[in-house]
Amino acid sequence: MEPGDARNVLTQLRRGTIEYCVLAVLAEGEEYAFELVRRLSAVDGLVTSEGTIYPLLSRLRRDDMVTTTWQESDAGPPRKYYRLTPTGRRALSGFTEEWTRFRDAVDELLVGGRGPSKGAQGGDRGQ
Amino acid sequence: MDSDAAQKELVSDYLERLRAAGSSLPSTRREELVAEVREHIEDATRAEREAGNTGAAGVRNVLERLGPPEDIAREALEQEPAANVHQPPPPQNTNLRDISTVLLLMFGGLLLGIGWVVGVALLWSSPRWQTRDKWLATLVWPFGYAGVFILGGAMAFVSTSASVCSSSPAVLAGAPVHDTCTESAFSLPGRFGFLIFLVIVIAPVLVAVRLLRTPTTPAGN
Repeated sequence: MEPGDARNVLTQLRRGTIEYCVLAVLAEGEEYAFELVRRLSAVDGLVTSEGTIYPLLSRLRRDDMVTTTWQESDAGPPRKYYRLTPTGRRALSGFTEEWTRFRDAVDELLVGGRGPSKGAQGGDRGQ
Repeated sequence: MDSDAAQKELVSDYLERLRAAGSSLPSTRREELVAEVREHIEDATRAEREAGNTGAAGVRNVLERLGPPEDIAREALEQEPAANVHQPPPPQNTNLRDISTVLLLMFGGLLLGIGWVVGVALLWSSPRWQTRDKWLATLVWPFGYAGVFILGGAMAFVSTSASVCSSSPAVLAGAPVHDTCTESAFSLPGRFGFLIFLVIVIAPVLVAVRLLRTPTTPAGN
């Protein structure tokens, strides 16, 4: 496998999972966009271009996963707050279940006894 | 330290690039996106300043984390339902070549016929028209308007023969026969000639309009 392939897989994984990460952050309570983006980028390796979260938020709102309300802010102009809808909550719990199963399955094969952590570093772990 | 104006310019350049890259988004959606990103930049720059990163360096950090505006626009286009994305209509570049083709087909026959032949060659080598239209244009314009003149000449000749026909039996058989011969089929061009002529003149114009209104790109992309 080329190193580029692993990067590509990660890009695809990121693209596919980021919207559920947004929903997960909002599951803890409503948030305005900048703070939401900041919390997502605080997680290492999850967001490469913060700006691309905005088109995603717009789509989530159109799909009725989130709603927005304008609220006055202490500093500066009113802010748009994002809140999870019941549809969004259902989508999140459905994905969480699937993801956990998927992650466990991959982990079992990757880490279960043969992972780089236990085998020789870059050696003959394929045997 | 960079001036305030330099920071403003960094931001406005960035937003301008975003707007340009998102030009095929519905305009309300595009402006909403630009407003959101602008707001983000303001919030983030404030946070940078509070962290001690004042001046243009802070703004640069913020823009770098946002990523290239082209990426944001691409993401927005991908997230937008296809129906809302404004596909720029294929430019109606009825170009010089196409106009020449049609003009040569119509009038090229008058240039010793060569012009028409060139017109047909241009017509059939053009990717713009379908085979059906190519046949239509070739057959409706046999030699273009030159064909009309040739046909007109033939009709004049035929009506001359008709009159000869009408006169010669009359001479042979006497006056009463004269009537039957003038009502023969040969006099039809005289009666319907104007109508036929109109059709012959109008048909090429209609075909010309049809050809020039054909979209430049083949249908069903």
